[in-house]
Amino acid sequence: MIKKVIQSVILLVFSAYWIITFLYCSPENYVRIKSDGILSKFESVFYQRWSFFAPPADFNFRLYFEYNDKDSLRLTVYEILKPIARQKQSAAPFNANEQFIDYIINSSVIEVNEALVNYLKVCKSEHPELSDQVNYTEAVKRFNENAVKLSFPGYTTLRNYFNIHYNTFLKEDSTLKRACYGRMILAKIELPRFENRDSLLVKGYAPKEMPVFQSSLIKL
Amino acid sequence: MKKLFSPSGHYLYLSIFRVYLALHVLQKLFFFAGHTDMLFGSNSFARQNGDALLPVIGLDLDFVRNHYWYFLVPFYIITFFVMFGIGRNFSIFLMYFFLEIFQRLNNFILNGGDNLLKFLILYMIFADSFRYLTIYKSKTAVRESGTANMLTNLAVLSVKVHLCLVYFISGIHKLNSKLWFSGVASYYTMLNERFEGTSWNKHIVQNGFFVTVSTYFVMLWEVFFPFLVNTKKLRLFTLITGVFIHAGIFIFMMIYDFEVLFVACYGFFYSDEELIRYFGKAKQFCIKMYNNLFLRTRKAG
Repeated sequence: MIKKVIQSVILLVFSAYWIITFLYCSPENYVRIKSDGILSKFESVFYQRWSFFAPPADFNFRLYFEYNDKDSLRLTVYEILKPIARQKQSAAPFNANEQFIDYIINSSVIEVNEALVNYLKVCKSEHPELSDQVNYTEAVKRFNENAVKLSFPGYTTLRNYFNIHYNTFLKEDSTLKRACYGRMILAKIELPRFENRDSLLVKGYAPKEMPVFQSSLIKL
Repeated sequence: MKKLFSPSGHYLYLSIFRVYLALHVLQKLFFFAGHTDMLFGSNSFARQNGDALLPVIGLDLDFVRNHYWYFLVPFYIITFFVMFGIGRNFSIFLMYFFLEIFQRLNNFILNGGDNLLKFLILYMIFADSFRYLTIYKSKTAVRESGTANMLTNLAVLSVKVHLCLVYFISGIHKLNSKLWFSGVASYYTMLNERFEGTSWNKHIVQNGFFVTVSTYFVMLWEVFFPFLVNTKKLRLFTLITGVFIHAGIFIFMMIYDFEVLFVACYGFFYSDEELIRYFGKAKQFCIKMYNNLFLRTRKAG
């Protein structure tokens, strides 16, 4: 009798687990939205995301660390992401070390970008009459204020990496000795559209860069 | 229903899979070794927000960060225990516990493979994976109770269902994405700078036929995987195709342990009996090939 009860309980738990898992993994739909309370508790233990490369990014990010003198004039600029990607590629397949930095920095960049998109949505909904450019400037301003105040993980990680970068390159680059401030600049470079793919093979091909975000000045 | 309470047909593969999972985790721990402070320490530049689950089980994220070695050393030991079958299901439970902690300490470094790994270890807690490949045999008789069989069968079923779910959900997300729908997504994924595994990628994507066929093929294969793999006549074709797709991602996109983990789950779609039969056939084929290639050449010489 006890055995039967135990087996029934196991089957019940198993069925409930799989029903919630299917619901959690399903796209936004009526039932999923209505079950938000249970699903958020389920997520804290069984978080999962399976939309691999859907949609794929049609751009690459560029992250610049800019160093300025005491009058905030630009002294030198370093691009961060491309060298990391190159190191990762050249060390493949034994690139576990390069992967750690790649995942940490790029996940932070993606988080900052997603946060900005959300801020822009809020600004647009508050002032639909204003132009995209004005709303965008406001979104970046709000993000910069809150990122420091609320210590967003992605932003704080990039900010910490900025300090590490400065201290590392200070020994190698004499111009950095005059640096008093710095800032992080995030940009996107669009991949050529599929129909223009042959431009990838053209020597000296320089894709167009679009600014995404510029941090406030950081005192060094 | 009766099948649920009868002995599982996967005891051999469950044992192999347990050893594989332990090696997979050990490989991760090995690569952490030189970077533990950067990845998990309190002075790490990678910042995380507070975690909702750890306080529930009486652990504070900052406390774990400050004392991460107290967790990392037992994690190493327990993983070895799992590999050798010491401590059995309880050791697997502890391995799951430590993996959860370390995944929560730094979620920046996780990918889909780490996500699936957590669930696979969770299911293995309930399975009898100690019939083979253990350093000592249990003194107590092998459990053949209906409940133990049921748990093992449900664990194996869970691995298979989860794998099917992952491919299916990934497939329907792709169907809903404009670039996948219009057949050009392979072009963009292979050119994503972070995952550009070889310098050939930009040359390969020049071939429009390859881009279109590979995009649609991957998308449809993922959507139909649960149906194809459960059709006996198409199972082998589906899984071999899967091996090639994952091998392609492994080489051209530099995503490694993720691909191996997914392919390792394929063994559950065959019973031990079938696996042994296929292995025997493969062995015979290899011997025949060796004889044909080398012995004949020697005779001719």
